Parts: sequence; C-alpha cells; structure tokens
Amino acid sequence: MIKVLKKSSHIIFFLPALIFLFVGIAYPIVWSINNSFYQWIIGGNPIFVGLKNYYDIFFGILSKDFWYSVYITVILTLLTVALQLTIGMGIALLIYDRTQNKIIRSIFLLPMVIPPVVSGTIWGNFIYNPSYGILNYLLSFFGVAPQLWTYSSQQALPSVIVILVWQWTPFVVLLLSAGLESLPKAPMEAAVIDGASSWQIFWYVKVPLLKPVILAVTVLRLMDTLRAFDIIISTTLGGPGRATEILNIMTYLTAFVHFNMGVASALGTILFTISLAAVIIMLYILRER
Amino acid sequence: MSEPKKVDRRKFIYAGLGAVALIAIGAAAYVAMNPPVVTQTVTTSTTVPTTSVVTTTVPTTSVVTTTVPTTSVVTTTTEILPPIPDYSLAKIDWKQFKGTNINLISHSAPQTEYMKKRAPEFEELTGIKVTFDLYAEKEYSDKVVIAAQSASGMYDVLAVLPAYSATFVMQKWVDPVYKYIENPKLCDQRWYNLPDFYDSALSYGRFDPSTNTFGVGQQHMIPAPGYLETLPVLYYRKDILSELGLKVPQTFDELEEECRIIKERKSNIVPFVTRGCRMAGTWNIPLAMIGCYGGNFFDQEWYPILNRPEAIEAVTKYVSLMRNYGPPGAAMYDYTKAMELFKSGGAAFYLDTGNYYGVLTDPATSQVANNVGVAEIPAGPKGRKVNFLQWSLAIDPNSKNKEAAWLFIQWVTSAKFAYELMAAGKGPSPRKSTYNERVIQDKWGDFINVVAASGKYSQILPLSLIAGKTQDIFSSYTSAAIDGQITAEEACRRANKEIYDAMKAAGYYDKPPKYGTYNNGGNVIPHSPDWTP
Repeated sequence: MIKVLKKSSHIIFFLPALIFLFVGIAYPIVWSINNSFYQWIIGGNPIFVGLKNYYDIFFGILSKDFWYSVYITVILTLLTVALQLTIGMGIALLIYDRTQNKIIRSIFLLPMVIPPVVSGTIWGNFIYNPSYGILNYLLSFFGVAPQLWTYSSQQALPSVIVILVWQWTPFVVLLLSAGLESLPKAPMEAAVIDGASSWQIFWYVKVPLLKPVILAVTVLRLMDTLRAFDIIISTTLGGPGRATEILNIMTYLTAFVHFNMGVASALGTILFTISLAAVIIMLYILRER
Repeated sequence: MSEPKKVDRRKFIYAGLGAVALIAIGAAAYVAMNPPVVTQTVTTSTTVPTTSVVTTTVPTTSVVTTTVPTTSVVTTTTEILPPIPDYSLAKIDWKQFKGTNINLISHSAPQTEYMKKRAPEFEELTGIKVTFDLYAEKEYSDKVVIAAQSASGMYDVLAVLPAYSATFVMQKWVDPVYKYIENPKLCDQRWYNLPDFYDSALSYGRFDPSTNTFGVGQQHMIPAPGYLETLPVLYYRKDILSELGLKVPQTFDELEEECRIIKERKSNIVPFVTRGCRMAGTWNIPLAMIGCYGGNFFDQEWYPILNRPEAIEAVTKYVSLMRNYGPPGAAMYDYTKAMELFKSGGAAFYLDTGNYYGVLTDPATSQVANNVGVAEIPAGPKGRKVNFLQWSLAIDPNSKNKEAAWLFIQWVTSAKFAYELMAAGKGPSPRKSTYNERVIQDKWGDFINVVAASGKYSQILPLSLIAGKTQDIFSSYTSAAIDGQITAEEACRRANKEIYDAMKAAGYYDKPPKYGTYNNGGNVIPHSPDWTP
C-alpha cells in the first residue's frame, strides 16, 4: 500500500494544481466557448444558434462596433507596448549600473504597486479633469491653454495610453535592469577594445544578449495591455462616445449592461484567440535562431 | 550517508500524506457540518407548522373579535387610522416568523444605511434578523444580476435598480408581492394603504403576465422608501440670479438665454451643467426633454422614434446647452462630477435628480448650501414631462423565507417608515401621505412643491427587456454629440437605427406580438405606417 502511495505520491502532490487549472482556467474557457454558440440574453433560455453570434460580430449588425473596437485595441496595445519598452529600456540603461540603484529602483516601482482602479480614478478625476485637474493647473504656468484630456474623443486615447505607460513601465524597467545586470562582462570589454561606440555596444552586443528578456517582457506586456480594462473602466468607461471602447470594454458592456451572454462569450473567445495569436507570432519573430 | 536521506524522503511523503489526510478530514467535517444546516431548515419548517398552529389559534381569537365587530361594526369602521399609522396598529401577527434570518442585497446609500441602522427595531418587533449586504452601486448591479440569474436563493430581499425593473419582473426573477398583500395573515391592507404610493412609483413593480407587459397589471415589487427620484429638477444659484437680475427660467429657451447672459457677465462660472457622459443614467435628461418637446422614446408598438422632429429638437437643445454653456469636457460628466461642480460653487444652473436636494443644501457638504434654489424642470413647447425613478424591493423566488421577507418589506415600505426616513433627511418618500406632514414641509422646503407638481406630469423610463442596451446606445451617441464628433440630429438618427436593430433582435417586432404595447405614462405616440428606422 505504502509502496503504491510512494510511487504515485507525485500525482497526489500535483492534484491541487491540476484541480485549480481545471476549475479555474480550463473549465471556464470551455464553458465560455460553448456559450458563444448560443443566443442567450441573461434570464432567457439559451437557444443554440451555431455560428450566428460570430457572423453578427464579423459581418452582421455588430460588425461596425466590433471592427472599430479592434482598431482601438490594436492602436492602444501597439503604442502602449512600444512606449513602455522604449522608455523602460532607457531608464533601465540609466540606472542598472549605479550604486544607489536600489533606492532609485524602489522609487520607480511605486506606480506599479498602486491598484489600477485607484490610479485610474486619481488620473481621471484629479489629474485630467479639465476644470479642477492638476495637469491643466501646472501647464497654465507655461502658458498652455487648458486641455480636455480624457474628456474629449481626440485626446482620450492618448491620455489613457499615458496612464498605462506610467503604471506599467516600472515593470519593464525592473525586468530589463535585472537582465542587464546579469549580462556577461567579457563581450562588452571585447567590444570596447575593438573600438565600438557605446551605441554599437548597446545595439550589437547588449540587445542580442538581452533578447530572451525583451521577448518575455514584450509578451507579458502585450497580453496585459490587450486586456487593459481596469484603467479604462475607471477613467472613461469606453467614452466619450465610443472613443476608448477596446474589445474588453465592449465585452463587459455586452455582458453586464446589455445582458447578452452569447455575444459576450463570442467576443471573449475572439479576444482570447487574438491574444494567443499575438503571443505565438511574437514568439516566432523573436525566437532563438 | 544515504540512510538518513531515505528517512527524510519517507518522512516527507508521510508528512504529505498526513496533510492530505488532514484536508480529507477537514472536508469530511465540512460535509458533516452541512446536515445540521439541513436539520436547521427542517426545524424551521417544523416551527412553521407550530406557528401556523399558533395562527390557527389566532383565527379562533379573531373569530371572537369578528363576532364582536359584527355587533359593533360601526366602531371598527369609524376607527380611523391616522394618516401615518404606527407599526403596532397593523392587524397582523408580526411575531409569526420569529427566529428567522433573512438576507438583503442592495447598494450602499443613505437610504439603505438608514434601513440597516433601524433593522434592530424590526428584529425587536418581529424576531426576524435581517442581514444587509451593501455594495458600491456598480458592484451591486453586477452582483444582483448574478444572484438572480443563478437562482441560488442566497438573498431573500432584493433591491432592484429602476433601470433593471422590467428585466427583473419579466424574467420572473422576483416573487410577485400581490400574493402577500392579498393574504390577510401577512398584510393588513387598510393599514398598509397601497394607493398611498405615487402611481408612477408603483408602475416600476407592475407586470401583466397575460400580455407580457411591464408597467401595468399586478404588483410584483414595492417602491423602496426614500427612493422616489424626480429626474430632473432644476437647481439654481439664488445669489447669481439676483445679482444679474434674472428670474427662475420657466422654459428651455429662457434657460438658454439666461445661460448666455451668465456666460457674458460672469466668466468664472459655468452657466449650466448636467449629465453628459455615456451610461450612468445620462439618458434621463434628454428623455425628459424629449417629453417636454412632445415626443417619446418609443411609439406604442415599441418602434424607436428618436428620428422624429420633436426628439431631434429636444436633443439639439440638450446638446447645445452642454456644448455652449456646459463645463469643458462636458461629454464625460456623470452625476458625481456635475454635482461636485455645482456644490463647489462652479456652476449657476444644474439639471439633475431631486435626490441631491439634501446634499446640496447641507452646509457640511456644500459650499453653496444657503444659495441653492430648486424649481421644476423648464417647459418645452409641449409643456413639461419628468421621469419618476423608483428603486423597488422584491422577494427572491428561490428564497426559503419569503413570508418573513415580505414582513420586512411591509415594515420598511410602510407609511411610518417612509415618513421617518424622509424626516431624517435621507431621501424623498414614494408615498403621498408623507408630504402632508409639517415636519417634512419644514425640513424639505421648496423641494416638496417641486415633487408634488412633478407628480402631475411624471412618466417612467422606457424600460424594455434590453433597457441597459438601449440606454448605452442612446447615451453613447448623445455623449459623442456633446463631444462634437457628430451633430445632435445625426446622434438621434444613428441611435434610432441601432436601437431598432437591437429591439428587432430581442423579438419586439415578432408576429404575433411577444410583448404588450408601450406606455410609460408619457406622450402616447401611435405607430405610423410610414415609420422608418
């Protein structure tokens, strides 16, 4: 008996993780994919309609909203991740080799520890507010006319991107600076002896060596930004009009405002597929040759 | 060397097994703990018969009392209840469900906090313990839908948002209250006095299952106390108007003209503010204005009529007031931002719910408390229309303590409680009797006249089964128009088309009709044969 247990003990220890994976991840995904084939308004009985929800989303009555949301999502994700990586790399290069970097690093980490809903509320209500926000007040000293920020459709998307960059760049800095510190010194010394400029050292030595870290950071940020929800819901709720309605917000509104679970599940499945595809493409592009 | 290592691993495995065993024992204990709960329900259900035995003894005494009244019929009929009768005057046995626990879900607001504060008195009266689960409004609205949808019976009493009312009754997520009202053991109708409620407030809980029509028919939910929302009323700054020699505007044209004067002469004041953002109940404002201009949201057969001239004219006025005289970024103003602006002295006119009267006139919360005036909504070319919004209390059909839940609802929606809640300054009562009281008139001042006048031309929201979606579509377009992305007319036409598509998908134009005709108590617009989306 004990022998059997001994041999199968690893299964017993795996069990909690397996149960969690199944209950917490696999089951909801399968359930949600299953729901997406039903016409189901909350409270009514689900009616099987096959691919109708997908047809409506891609070509039918919801297509205009859907493609608009896709467009907003793509713009928001690409700009945010690109900015986070560029700024994050710059800051990481500045701080990674300094002696006092522990203190500096902790300071840089501060935005990351604020819950996104809180930072969204603070930015939306106290920093961006055109009437009594701090930003317009500070800019007035430089003679800048009051701007509308998240309160107008033209500026809402860039303003939201600024919050996202502010909140999550520290995360990029943290990983990149750790990556930079762990790089071997020899190739860089060799490059210096060969007379390479500091830009050449960065581009031809450090970046290739850092590739795995950059890949990991990009994938993480990409997935997170595609799902950016808390900051938008707490600042603009997808508005003004539909200016910041990314796919996630559209899914939320469909499920909890329009009560349309079938379409919301289909949207969720699409978003899931898009994230998955994006990650696979990234992995392919940045793979180790 | 390898000997102790082996022992270590074995110990480790044993420890693991021990942990698994502990978990198993814990789980077994948990499962074992459940039966007592079951037996508890069994005991309560056995106590129910005993109380019913008690109630059968009550009838025998009531037989005695009825024999007495037959001789002294005159005394019972001349026994006049005071307009606001005390709880003790209700001819029911408050103690019949003694020892029951009931759960209530609602959002956290002055009204519900006040109910929670007073709940111990109810417990003393009835022996029923009420547990309040109060959440922030957004969290509450997600949770209550999930609770109703899952049919778990987790809650006995549900507070239902006005915008959700149609969905809740039509989806049968509530147990109709008329059954309890008609049961003399559970409700003393003379004491409870249902007709005392404003009719529009009662409409939010009415449903006729035979024609599948919301807003008419039998009472399924009861108006919650302190929640009669007159939306909108016009708040104004007395000091600014008297400084500039302006009168309180009676029409929307006068309002716009005065805004123009204020903009010219007081550059540091925003002339006008109301809700302009997407969602957050924003549609209340243009909806009331469309009523004032002679239109409605749907015609009698549920076809949206936002593309008709009166609706376009009303929305154009709303958008122009917000764009030309509203705060910067008006397209993102929800009720909190608008109220903050007015409270801090930044705006001259503020069109929003009557529920804020208390907050705006309280010196502790408002910088302009002594200078706030309140008036009816300005009139349009076709007079006035205003939305009455009403939260309702309902009984969950899956609750195991429905009768006890009803006793609580009866207590908390009684004339006495509604009066006490309003006297405490927590919110306007949905009962007419409250407004005749001297204490209320002294405390609420002008506001009472505004509510009483509004009661004459009130309508309810255009609540279809997909009210949430129609609200989102409409407000996203009006918000875009205030933002300047599209014109007001374009907003109306595009919203109309999209709402038509959504209503069609929801089966509102099926033949034979799935739902009864549309009537929100506002302007009745018959369906025109040349209607176009």
